[in-house]
Amino acid sequence: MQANKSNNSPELASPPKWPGKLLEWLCREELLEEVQGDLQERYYLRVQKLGEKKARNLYIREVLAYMRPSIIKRGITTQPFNTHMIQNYFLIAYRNLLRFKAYTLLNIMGLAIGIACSILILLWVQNEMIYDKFHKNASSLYRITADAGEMRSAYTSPAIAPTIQARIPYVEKVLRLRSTENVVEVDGRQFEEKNGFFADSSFFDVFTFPLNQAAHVSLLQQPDEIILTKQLARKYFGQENVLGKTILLDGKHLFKIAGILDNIPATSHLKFDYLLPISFLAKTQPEIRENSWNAFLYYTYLQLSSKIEKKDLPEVERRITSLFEEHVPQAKGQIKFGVQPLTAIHLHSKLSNDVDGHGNIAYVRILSLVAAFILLLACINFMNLSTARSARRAKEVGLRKVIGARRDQLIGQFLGESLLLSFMALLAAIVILLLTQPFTQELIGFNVLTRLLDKETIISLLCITSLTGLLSGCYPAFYLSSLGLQSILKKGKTLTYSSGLRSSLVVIQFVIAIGLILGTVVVHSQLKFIQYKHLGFDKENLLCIPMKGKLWDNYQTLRSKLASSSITSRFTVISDLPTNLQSHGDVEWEGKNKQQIMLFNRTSVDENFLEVFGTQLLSGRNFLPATKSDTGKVIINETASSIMGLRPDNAIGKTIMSGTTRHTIIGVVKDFHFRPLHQPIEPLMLQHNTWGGNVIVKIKPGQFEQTLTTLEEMYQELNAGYEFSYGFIDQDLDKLYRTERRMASIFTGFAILSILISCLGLFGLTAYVAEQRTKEIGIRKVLGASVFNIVVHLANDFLKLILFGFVIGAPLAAYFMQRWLEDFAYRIELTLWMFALAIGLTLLVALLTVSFQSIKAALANPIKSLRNE
Amino acid sequence: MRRSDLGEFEELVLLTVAVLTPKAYSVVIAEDLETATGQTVSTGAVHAALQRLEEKGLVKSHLGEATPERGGRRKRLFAVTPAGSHILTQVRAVRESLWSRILPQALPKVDLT
Repeated sequence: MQANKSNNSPELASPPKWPGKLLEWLCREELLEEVQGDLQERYYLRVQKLGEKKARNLYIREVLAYMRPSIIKRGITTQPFNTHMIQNYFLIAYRNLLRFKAYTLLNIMGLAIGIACSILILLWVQNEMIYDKFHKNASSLYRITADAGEMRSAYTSPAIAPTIQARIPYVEKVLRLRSTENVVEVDGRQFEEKNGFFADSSFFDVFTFPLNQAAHVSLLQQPDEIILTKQLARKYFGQENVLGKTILLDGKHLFKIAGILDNIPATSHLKFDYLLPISFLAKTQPEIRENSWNAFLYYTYLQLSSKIEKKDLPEVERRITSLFEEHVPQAKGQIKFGVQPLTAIHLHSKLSNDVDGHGNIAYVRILSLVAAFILLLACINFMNLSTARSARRAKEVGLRKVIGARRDQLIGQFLGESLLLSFMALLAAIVILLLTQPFTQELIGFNVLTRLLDKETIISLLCITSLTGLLSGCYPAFYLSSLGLQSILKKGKTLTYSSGLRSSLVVIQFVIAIGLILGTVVVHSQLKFIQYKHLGFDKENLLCIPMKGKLWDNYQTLRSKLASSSITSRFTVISDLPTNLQSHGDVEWEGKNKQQIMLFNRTSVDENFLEVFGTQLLSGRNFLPATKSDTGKVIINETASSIMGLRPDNAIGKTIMSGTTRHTIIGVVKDFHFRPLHQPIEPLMLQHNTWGGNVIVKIKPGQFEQTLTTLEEMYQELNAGYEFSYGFIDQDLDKLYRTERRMASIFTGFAILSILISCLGLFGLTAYVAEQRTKEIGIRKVLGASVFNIVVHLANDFLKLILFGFVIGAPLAAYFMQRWLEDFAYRIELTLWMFALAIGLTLLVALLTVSFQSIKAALANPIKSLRNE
Repeated sequence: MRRSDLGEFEELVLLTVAVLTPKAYSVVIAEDLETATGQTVSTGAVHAALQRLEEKGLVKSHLGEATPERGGRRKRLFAVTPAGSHILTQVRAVRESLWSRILPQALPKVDLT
């Protein structure tokens, strides 16, 4: 070997470094030396022959070409699956679970609760979002709405549908529906049915409600045919094969059963029990016969061509509006028509005159957030507790490292344990759901467990659980595996982990918990406010009996009977219940701004109304009993008069026109709420009722039973054969707030849960911290601290964190709650005591949790803890 | 001897090992083949061929001296084994026998300048 071989390489330029590193990383130990040497030597030869640039290029290419299987290190690629190690992992995991039973239980419980909640909410959200999607044409179905300034209504007039179908090319099908209530007589028995619709014959083309049996095709054309659901058929006949049978409607009309529907899916915004053809209405109702443009009483659905997209909708709306104005020129500029997609109806409609049972997208969003938060809480808990617990396993980690565990193996082990725990939590969550099933069915409206068996649900569940396990196990896994051997095997047997992280996690937990508690407090207060707010009329003890059958003919007799009995002498007859008033556009008065569209609510009441309902007449007079002379006279409410630009005293004698009828105002009544408190009071027009409707009897205190019996007797006397049914005004009103009440219970439930989870976490953490500081506590005791002092010391840190959480959480919650409250036209204000209550409650519970562990620690014998010193 | 026993490239490498013995290793073999064939021969290909030859028992190897050009790393030197020698002779015999049977006018004239 020549001595100056090193001078042969001209510039002593080494080959590029990185390929060498690549080789070092991947190449087998035993081959590395010769391969690297060969490559380097060749490089220098080429530098001489071909120049440095080419030499470098070729060097790099050759290194890459060396990447073949026989060169690559064993161990980089997958090893043969080593079951022994996995077995050990399982064994250790199992032993650890048992060793720290309390921790494990807390952990799993907390996570299980979090998962169960999330599942519940997610399933509910999913249910809400798929409303009406079962129709075949769902994506091209829309409903027309009528917007008149501030009021938006789901009602349209019957002439709109056929006109737009004829005139607008991309309107493929139209369908009108009108809700109806009827008395059905079957074999002499009578039933009151409240859930029916009159429908155009295009019903089954537009919608996909499966028919169980049908007498022929083209249903809903013949005016004397009726379609029932299976349920209704069963109710009437005890079985479902009832095609061809006849039933009597309203004591006058015979209908033949021409079709039986499968039960309406729960996720349909239209819920009904029977269908009647609109062609029947053509015989009896003028608005159909005359193709009225003004009678806003129908729901209109459209099927548009599939080429129409969301961006085309404003154009569609414009065309419908202009067609309407073409036919009703005096309404120009007053009504605008809207087109809402069918699938958006359930969650996004805030319209008057709509069907019941709509959800609210706001609630869907809020609850999804709540679900996410609770899951987050549970994960944080999990993370905290896992890390606290695994700090005790430092010795095990040390030993494993000594024996030769690589970092990734350790990470795998701990992540695996975490996954194991989270899947156990999943099982526990399912058990929880099983046990609470009857309760949740009530809350949500469907059986959670049957939904769980859905393929998609199972997959998402597994995903959520795995994600939770991995996320939560991340920190402990990485933290533990990174511990240096020296620090482990030295004296200290336990380790601390970043208290900063721990503290911030606790803060986050309490931000969420406090937010939820505050939310609950606010929601409950608002509900109470609504329930007890004086509605402007006396809603208590009002018994309501709808008039049916022969009562209509015996109206005057009924009135005299009621008047003559002292029990029932306070009564009134109104045509519509306060919860169900009809609104009517087309109202004119002197000096009315022609541009302004005003929808007035209208109903008829008898002369006793004001007294029985306890409303107050501000000016003018009441109706006179049983005189024809009060036809054409109306009483309006305050809002109506101010809209007309009048004060109560000078409104008397003025004329107001609805349609073509002139009415004279004889009185102005003080405003009262006849709609849910979400909405401001609307203008109201009361006409004189002389024909009947709903009989409202004010029950005298303590005479509930007698009133009921007396009324039933009277009823049977005058209307034999009809079922005596009654309701209560205040109950009806409460039903309006069903959604809110449900919200309140859900919020309460979640607030409790979040506090529970947070306290579980706090419990575990306190235990951990107390253990860390046993020596400190021992010394303090020796120096003379009382149990109380020590508890205060330990609790102090946590209390600071909770207060911090409050400082962050309260403003956030306040903001969101204010937004929610603004939904209500009549609402409470956010007051200080609510915040005080929230923080007070939280502090109390947290203190209890913390003190329990602290006291335990404080009572420990200092001799024991200081012995090791 | 089966046709799969010795690939074409492996045969070349084996022959070059015999040529360069006792100083036959990846780099010089590759350089030599490059000069002989006129085409680029990558070190890795030669190295792989040598590995395969060693697995088949046709060469044996030992680690030799280190040089500065190799950054102080030792090189692996190869030598042909009796089995390798046997297979080379066989292959050569087959080829020569075939060549000897070609009639002069059978192959088109080739100018080998």
